[in-house]
Amino acid sequence: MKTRVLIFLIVLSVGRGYAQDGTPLSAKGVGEFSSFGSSWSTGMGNSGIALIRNGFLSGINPATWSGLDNVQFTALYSFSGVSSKDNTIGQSSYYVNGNFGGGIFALPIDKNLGFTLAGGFTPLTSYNFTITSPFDSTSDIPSYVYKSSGTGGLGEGFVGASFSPFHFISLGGMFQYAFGRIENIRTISFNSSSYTNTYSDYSAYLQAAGGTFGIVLDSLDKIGGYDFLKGFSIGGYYKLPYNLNGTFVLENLYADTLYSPFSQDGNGYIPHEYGVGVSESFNDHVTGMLDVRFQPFSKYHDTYTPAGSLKDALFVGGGIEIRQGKGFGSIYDKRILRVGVYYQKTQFADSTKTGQWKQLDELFLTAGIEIPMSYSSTASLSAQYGLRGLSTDFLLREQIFRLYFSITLGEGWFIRPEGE
Amino acid sequence: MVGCSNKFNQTGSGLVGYDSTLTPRAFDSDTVRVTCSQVNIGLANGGDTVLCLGAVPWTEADMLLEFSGLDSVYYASRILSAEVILTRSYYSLQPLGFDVRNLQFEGYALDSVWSSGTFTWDSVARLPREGSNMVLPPMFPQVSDSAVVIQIDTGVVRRWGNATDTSTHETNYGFILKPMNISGVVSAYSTLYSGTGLEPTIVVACLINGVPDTVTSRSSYSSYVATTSIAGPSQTFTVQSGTGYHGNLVFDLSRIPNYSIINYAQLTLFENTIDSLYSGQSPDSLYAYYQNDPTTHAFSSIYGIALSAQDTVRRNKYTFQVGVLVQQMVNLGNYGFIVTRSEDYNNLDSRFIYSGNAPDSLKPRLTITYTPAVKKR
Repeated sequence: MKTRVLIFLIVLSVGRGYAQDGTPLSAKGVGEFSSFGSSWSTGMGNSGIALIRNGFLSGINPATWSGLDNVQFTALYSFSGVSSKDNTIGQSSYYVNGNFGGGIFALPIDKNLGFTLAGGFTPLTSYNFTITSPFDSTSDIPSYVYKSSGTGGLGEGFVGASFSPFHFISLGGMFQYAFGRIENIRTISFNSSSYTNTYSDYSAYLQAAGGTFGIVLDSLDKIGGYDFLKGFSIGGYYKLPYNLNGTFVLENLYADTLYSPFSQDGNGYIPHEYGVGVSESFNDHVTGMLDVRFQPFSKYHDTYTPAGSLKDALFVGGGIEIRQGKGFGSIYDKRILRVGVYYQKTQFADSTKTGQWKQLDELFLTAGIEIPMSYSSTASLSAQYGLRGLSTDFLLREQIFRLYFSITLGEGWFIRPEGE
Repeated sequence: MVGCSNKFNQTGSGLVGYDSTLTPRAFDSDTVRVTCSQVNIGLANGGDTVLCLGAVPWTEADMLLEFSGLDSVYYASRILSAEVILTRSYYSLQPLGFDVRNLQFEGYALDSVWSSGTFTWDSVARLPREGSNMVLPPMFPQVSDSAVVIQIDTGVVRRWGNATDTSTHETNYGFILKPMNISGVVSAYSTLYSGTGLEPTIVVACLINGVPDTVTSRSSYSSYVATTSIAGPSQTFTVQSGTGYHGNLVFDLSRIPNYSIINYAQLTLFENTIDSLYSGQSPDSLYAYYQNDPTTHAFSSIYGIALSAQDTVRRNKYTFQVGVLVQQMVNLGNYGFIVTRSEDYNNLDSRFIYSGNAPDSLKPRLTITYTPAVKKR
């Protein structure tokens, strides 16, 4: 197990921790925001705020780590394909991404106290787009092609712990550090050899410290003897805002090969985020979850993005999982099937055909399967398909398909053998 | 990330919008102020291949020569004659409308070390020198289309020969030739043509051990220095070869943000061809440079250089591609252009270029296409 963890950590260290999709929408601010739930969540409508379960490693609510029985490591790799159609000009573009989607390592210290240490790295934003447009000549300027492309994003590293002071309550907290570079390369290529083309590289190097606190109330039936609460849990989290600071660097390529980078200090603000969720284990085989999350992105701003450029985001998602083969036969007869759905009013605004700017919404269907690789390790495959810009009135509409593959490795480093 | 599209991908352009700072923009100096002024850096021409000697109105060029290799003269019992021969690099006898055959010179032996690498007109004027004119009467050199021959005082040559023996306490710091009348300018090959037979030569006829002999030396150190107080016609500035007399044009570029990318820039100048003083011996072109130091008026080709020949159709028009130069102005400071003749050393020709207070059709014009590219919005 330790060797496998090390191998994974090495693999992750050479990857870039920016996930999510390529979309021209991400050109605003520091990119498209994402929340890494877990490989479990991706099949269940990205939900899981209130789920306490062994094998469930979430980067959203640290209180859920109290449910882990043994040492675990999970890593996620994502592929996404995006078809963006711009109804203004009747053209479409296609983006294909393959990215490391995050990894978490958890170390349960005391199961009875729900004391677990965890840490990891997850993506926070994705800045990923390419726009290329031709321009006709004017009386003063020859025709040219404008190209703007964005790469990079912010990632989050974190360490934290969970703790259960009472059997029905789990608390968790984690320190987070966001950092990364967003890079926008813009070029102008003239259709005249006597003109010098424009090449401008604009990068922002940003970082900030933050934190998240969470709580899960579980086994509530044991408090007051309410049997109808058996298998029900409710949880919530609050993520502190990020006060970003860093450097904005402009590097132009000049005709005379002068290198004159222009650098200035910059800052930004990523608003707080909070959410609540419930989960219900209907029986040993079926569990349902439902989450609601909110983040007031209208308060987002950075040195060059005024507040109000983004919209307040609201997320509602849930799903059901069905465990098959539990309690009998080979472990390879066991599997978990998951389905879910989520709806989100995104951070993005788009123009409608009537010229109004409206908030883009999106709807995704999700499904996944998890199969065991050993008694404590599993592999998951999940898929998401959805539409961004549900109204046909939007000028930009996107179809998105995502595929997630993850491996969760578990081992009882600190579990005392029976009879000892 | 891979963007897969087989055509221009404008998707999202209406949503994201084009960065306004990434839109190429046009700048035309028609609406801004241009300041034209004269810059006189005073050339030290020691490193040049051609020496100028003579005078035209408001302008004078003096020549400095120092011959070595006169050891044999030390042993001469008598010096019969001495003459300095300069091979002309330009054969016209009537450049700039003057007849150089009428040139008169005076010359003075110098009493101090001089270095052409650092001297100026003023410092040369202060050089200690002997009081008597060493150019023999009637001071009319023999100027042909190929050479200038100047008879000089044999007593001076004797002292130069004696200088080879330090015990004599004689010195040889060469001499300076100055024009005595305004009758044009001759150009002659300098010491840098050593070994070609074109370099300055001194020929001394003497008696050694009672036998007539000729001592010839082609080994010399040469230079020339020129000055001018030329004032061109109204509404013009002057660019003149040989004197370091240049034009400085500063356009108001304050509308162009710092760090903008200059995609294209063209400078157009118009010349007053009626009054220009052009001998025809040098290329008919002008250079534009970036002035990198407004105090010393320094310029260098390392900051870019733009050459323009006369327009083949409109003969008084010069067009320069100055994108690199304008980029320097935007990035390093707008100290303007320095305009020189393409041959800035080898003659005293002058061009009169219309300045900013000339009629619109004649004044300097600068057109620029630039991309602000200063920040993202």
